[in-house]
Amino acid sequence: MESIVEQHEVKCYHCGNECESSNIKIDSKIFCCNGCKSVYEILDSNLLCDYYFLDTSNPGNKIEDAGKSKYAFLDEETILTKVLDFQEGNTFGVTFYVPSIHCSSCIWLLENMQKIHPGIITSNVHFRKKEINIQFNKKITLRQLAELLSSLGYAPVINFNGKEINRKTVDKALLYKIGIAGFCFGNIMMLSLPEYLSVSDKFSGDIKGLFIFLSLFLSLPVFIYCASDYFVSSWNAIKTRTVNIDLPIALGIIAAFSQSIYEIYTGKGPGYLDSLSGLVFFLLIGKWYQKKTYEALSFERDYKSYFPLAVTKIENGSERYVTLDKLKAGDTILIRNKEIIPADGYILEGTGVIDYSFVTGESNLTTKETGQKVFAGGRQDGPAVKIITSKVVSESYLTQLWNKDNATDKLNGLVEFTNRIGKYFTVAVLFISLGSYVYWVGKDPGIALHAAVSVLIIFCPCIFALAIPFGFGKAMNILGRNGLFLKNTETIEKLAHNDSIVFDKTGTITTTENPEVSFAGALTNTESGMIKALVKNSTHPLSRSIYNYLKVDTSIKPDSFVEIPSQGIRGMFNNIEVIAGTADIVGVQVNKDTEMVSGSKVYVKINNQVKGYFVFRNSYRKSFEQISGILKKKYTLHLLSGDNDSERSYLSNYFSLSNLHFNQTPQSKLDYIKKLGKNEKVMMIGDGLNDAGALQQSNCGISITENCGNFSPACDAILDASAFSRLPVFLKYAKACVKSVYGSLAISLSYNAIGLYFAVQGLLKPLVAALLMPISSVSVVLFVTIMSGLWAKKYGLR
Amino acid sequence: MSVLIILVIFSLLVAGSFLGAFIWAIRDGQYEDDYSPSVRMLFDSKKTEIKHKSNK
Repeated sequence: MESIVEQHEVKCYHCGNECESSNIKIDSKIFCCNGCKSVYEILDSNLLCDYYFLDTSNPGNKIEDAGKSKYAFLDEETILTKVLDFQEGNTFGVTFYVPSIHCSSCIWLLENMQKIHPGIITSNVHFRKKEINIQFNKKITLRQLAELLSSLGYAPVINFNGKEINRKTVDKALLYKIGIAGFCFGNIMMLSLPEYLSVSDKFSGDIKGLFIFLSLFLSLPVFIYCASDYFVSSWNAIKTRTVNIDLPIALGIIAAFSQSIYEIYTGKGPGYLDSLSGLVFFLLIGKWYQKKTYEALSFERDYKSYFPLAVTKIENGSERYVTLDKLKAGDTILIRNKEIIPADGYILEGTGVIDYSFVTGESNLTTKETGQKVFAGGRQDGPAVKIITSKVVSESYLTQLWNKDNATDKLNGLVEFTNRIGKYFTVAVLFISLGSYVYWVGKDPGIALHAAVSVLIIFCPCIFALAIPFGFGKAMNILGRNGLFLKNTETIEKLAHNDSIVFDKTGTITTTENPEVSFAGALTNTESGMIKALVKNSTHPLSRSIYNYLKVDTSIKPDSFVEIPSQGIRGMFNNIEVIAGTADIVGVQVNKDTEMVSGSKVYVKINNQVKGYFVFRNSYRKSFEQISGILKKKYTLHLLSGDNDSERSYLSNYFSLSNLHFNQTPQSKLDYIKKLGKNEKVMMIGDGLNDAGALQQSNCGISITENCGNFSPACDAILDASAFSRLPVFLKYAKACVKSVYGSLAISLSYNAIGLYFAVQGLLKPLVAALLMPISSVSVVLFVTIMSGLWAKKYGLR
Repeated sequence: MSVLIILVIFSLLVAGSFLGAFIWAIRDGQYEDDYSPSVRMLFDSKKTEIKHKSNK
């Protein structure tokens, strides 16, 4: 046992993972695999080993064997132009999304790429977006560049989606607006100072006039440019005959501006330009705070992000890369080792060993013979196969889930609460404004218009425009730090109000790490020892699990061994042959249809005698028992599993029997959520591509992931698997934050009531407005941000 | 009192130049990535200078 413990302490010099053996080493530095070793060799030969000392945690990424041809499509001219940013003479520019960028060492290495290959001119990392921008010349091709990055552990993920969304311009426009509004607001305030201090009468008419003229001049960009979003949005609402929350804001801004022009023109005074620009400034800051997003995470992924950009098509006997949109039904395509099948089809030639873990979250391999049907999303794990596609990519079994209209609430970006209350609010404002006009018009026509306009100015819905961005924005940051990443601030509210929670099983409440191993059959101690000694030489995850499972002494060593990739391992011990691997390699006849259901198996054959097999089951997350107990009290829990019902009795401890559903297809999951959603609000927690439809259909879809850089289906929030145990806390926190926004509603309304008291009487002085509006805005913002922080502290969130 | 007019206009110009600087900074892309520059400056600068320009 001693020796085993020691071995576990050996960490790979490059990636920090545990090493199974100390066989792979260079000058006393031990590596877990040849991939890590070769990265070290590259770095060492280019004098770039500072990499390992910059960040104290382990900077290296484990090298995954991606197959040789993964980036081959980048040689194709038509694809090249789509991927490249620009091309000027011999210089090319490209931007890759590299999910594995995670520390300062990564930045350092990636920005020193020109030392590794002379073809690279400069490289520049955008850390937040996890993007690398590279300029290179003809000494390196794009494919070689991608392969070089990949060989260093920074495999780029290439798809066209990133190019379609251009977030930069949007963000920049908002920043310009904030800058300009802040500048104008500050200066108008300064110019209004004599007015505030009631000393303006001491100034001569010229100076007074200049101050007012300058204020008006400065307010123009605020009114025309900075506030334009509100006009556009409320105009769109009017066109569709709905009321949105921007409408009273836009009305208030227009009312304040025209009233000011009128007062300046008639010489009554300076108007409300200061409060107007101040309001716009605060509103824009709120918007900016709300807009904070997790740039490196994508919540809007559709099937395109899962699939490769191009596939090898076989046409008239020659191979050619075509982009997926050009692929038609009936085309013959070649799927090489580790490539993903982009469309449903039939195997024409070869044996498909297909890994559907992308789709189902399960790591089992399915074997498909010639003529059998394969589904899009599977990854071939073995020699190349030819496939005849039966459908175009967008109509495949899985992808069509996206093409259905699942967007129930995606059209309107506003929070439900805002919509509900906002409507009444807007109507009430208009009603009071009109009422005060009607009231005054008979008594004193001079005051009537002023009173009506004052109501519009003072009754600005700060609560909606400020409390939600700041309160929820802060909450979103806090949740992000704790491992729950939200798509936008509105998700907080979706998190808070749910009646049921639906769990997916595999990958969601179970984990692929540390599977439960059991052996069916009988092994003697010597036999166990031989197996353990044999699998020690393999880096396959299943081998590692077996190694950890077998608690015997391994003093023996195999005389010789050979590993057959994705099949198994064979070794000789004193003329005794030991084989561990798939049914095929061991020579066991199994029924392929029933084989899939019960988890992965590794068969063992010793001296031509099949001894039995190891079964691997995904183990349940340790915290599931605890959190299901908490959640059960408040929510109805459901389970949708793609597996068979072998674990029904175990799971009935946590779910009521009528809510346990097995053998679910992606479509039936979606339908189930739809059915539930008719009567209640449903939260769905899932992981794989097979949950994607259900996640979109639910009120709040949370996608759980072991590694945030990995792909996750389109959803409202991404939950880091390590934070799974804190889910109930997150939900409680979201509820508390919604409550504090309700509280700020009361504060804001009390300010509005004071303002309204003056406004309906036609007594609203610019000074009152200029005081009341910033005070109410600031106090609302302070209240919600402080409350969000306090709740976080109470619930133990960082 | 007419000195006030000159002072006010001067103050607007000074403030305006700061606004100009802010807009320049946004255009230059300084608000796009607020992490990498902070670690980049700590690296030993043996390498060729990297221009911090957004690509267009």
